[in-house]
Amino acid sequence: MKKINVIIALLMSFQLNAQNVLDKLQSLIKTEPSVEINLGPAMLGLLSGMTSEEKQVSDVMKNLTEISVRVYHLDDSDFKGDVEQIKTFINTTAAEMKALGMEQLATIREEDSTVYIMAEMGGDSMRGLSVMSLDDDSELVVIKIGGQILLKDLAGLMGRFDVDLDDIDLDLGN
Amino acid sequence: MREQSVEQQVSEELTNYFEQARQVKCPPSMKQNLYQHLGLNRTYKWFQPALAFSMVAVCSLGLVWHHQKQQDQLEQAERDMQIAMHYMQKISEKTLEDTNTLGIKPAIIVPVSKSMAQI
Repeated sequence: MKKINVIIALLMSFQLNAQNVLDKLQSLIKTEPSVEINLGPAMLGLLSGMTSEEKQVSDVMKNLTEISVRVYHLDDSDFKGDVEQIKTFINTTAAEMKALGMEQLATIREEDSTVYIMAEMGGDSMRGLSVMSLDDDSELVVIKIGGQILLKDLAGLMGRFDVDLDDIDLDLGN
Repeated sequence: MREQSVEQQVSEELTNYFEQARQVKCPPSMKQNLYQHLGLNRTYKWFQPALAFSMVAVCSLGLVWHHQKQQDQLEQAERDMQIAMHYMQKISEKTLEDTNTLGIKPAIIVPVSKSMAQI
């Protein structure tokens, strides 16, 4: 019985890797994301080198292995999926992640808003962070951060890189 | 009389031989080697610095191109990072401001709140 449980857990963990979740979501939503970001170890290493003067930020970046972001605008005319189905998918995925041993850091379940912040813990620090947020039934954001993360470091990282998106010359489909 | 004719014959043969030898063109490689041996190879003298200069120019261009490419990649990566952190920030603020306590583990949300307060 134990063996069967281990095999099921292994199969689930194989099925539930971040890329798989993003791919599943893509097929469910049936539209291209407005924002698609994939930063791998090479790019994060480059950024770490660039911020070497800011030692704290540089150190945090060194420990990261992946940052993936997908943003879908569900009020676009292109969107042909079902919002309720997406909500169910998010709830089910979060429950599966929890069953696999991930910590549920924060959750918001409201009529027009569903947010899950899930963390994969390893000792004192996080080894991965997954964020799924459906806001006003109109914007779905999925973020996956891989690597060794401390919460205070994450705050520093957000402070260093967060800008007003209007300042960035990029069509986000808003 | 006979000695004179032999001398004349030898002289004629030698003249013919050298005349023929003079008319045969020297192969370029032999000519080049000879010039080089005598230190008279002018092509060699200007060609070497020109080659070196070309090499330096090509290497410099390559370096500039590589640097520019890396710079573009960095700018793109920083922009991606800014967008990623913008959405993280947006969700974090929501977590703190519009929190529905039903779904939150108090022991874990405290460090999150503290870290957010640093921003």
